[in-house]
Amino acid sequence: MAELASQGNVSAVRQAFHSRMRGEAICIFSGERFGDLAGMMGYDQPPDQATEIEILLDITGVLVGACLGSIARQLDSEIGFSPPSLVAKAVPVSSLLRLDGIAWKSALLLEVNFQLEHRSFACHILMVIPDTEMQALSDALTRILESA
Amino acid sequence: MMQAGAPAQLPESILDQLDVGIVVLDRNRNIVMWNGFMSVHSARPAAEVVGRNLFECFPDLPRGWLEKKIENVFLLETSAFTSWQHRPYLFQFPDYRALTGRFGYMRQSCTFQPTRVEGGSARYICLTIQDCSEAALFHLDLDQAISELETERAEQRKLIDRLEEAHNQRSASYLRPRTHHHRDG
Repeated sequence: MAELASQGNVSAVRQAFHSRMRGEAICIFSGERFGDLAGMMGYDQPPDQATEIEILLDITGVLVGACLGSIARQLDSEIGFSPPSLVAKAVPVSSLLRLDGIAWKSALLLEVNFQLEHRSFACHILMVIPDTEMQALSDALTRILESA
Repeated sequence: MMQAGAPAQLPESILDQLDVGIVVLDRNRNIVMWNGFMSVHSARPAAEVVGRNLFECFPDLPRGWLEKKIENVFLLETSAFTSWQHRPYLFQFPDYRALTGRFGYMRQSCTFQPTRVEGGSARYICLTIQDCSEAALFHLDLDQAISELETERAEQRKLIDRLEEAHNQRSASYLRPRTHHHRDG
């Protein structure tokens, strides 16, 4: 997070997932240029405010789906996603998350950084699986190791 | 999901009664399934659209964008979504709320889910359409209330500024004679 803080304002989208383990992914986008992305996502007009948000939600869905989908496949379990929603648009990183109301003590954190070559796009995905859901993950891993 | 002993025609009638639109598309964007919700709101019965291309049946759909979205779901095998907040509707269904409706078209949130038929290799997309007009109405009211509060706040701010100004002028005019008086004395 601190690394992101140096990059000025960010936008963030959250998406919850549920398979054997439940959790939440948050996708943090730095930069505020969306024209580039709009073309890639099939929009034929320069994006307005609502379209920009829709693009962020769409990209989050694709990236989070790809990351967690392949993890779920390896664990041989189905995965479902809730619709992504906007956390914040163009705000300083420090104001992004409030950590004081969180119920878990520890969680598994996966971080993936994406950057597109030759384009000004970069984003960070954090996937958080709280400790209460960890048993399911470790069960799945045990099953895989035993069957190997 | 099916219970042992349940009559075979049950699931289909349940799907037809759901207050959610369900459309199943094959790889070529042909409509494979069209439930009751879709028939009612589009005024196109299943018999008229099943087996036909989605974009031929509904030329109003934003084709370029939607094609890409559907293709992504097939390619990546991951769900996609649209929300009424950013895209008010996908299908132009007239708002049927005869008394309380304030939108021309039903507000919709949609999900696109990759699906395979059990045992088969063919791939489909299950598209669900949720009527969000009610939530959208609440939002509309909320937005209106917020903007009214903001206007009120701005007016109050103006009043406070004027009061402060008047107060300052008064204290200034109190001070002036006194300094005069002081100098005179």
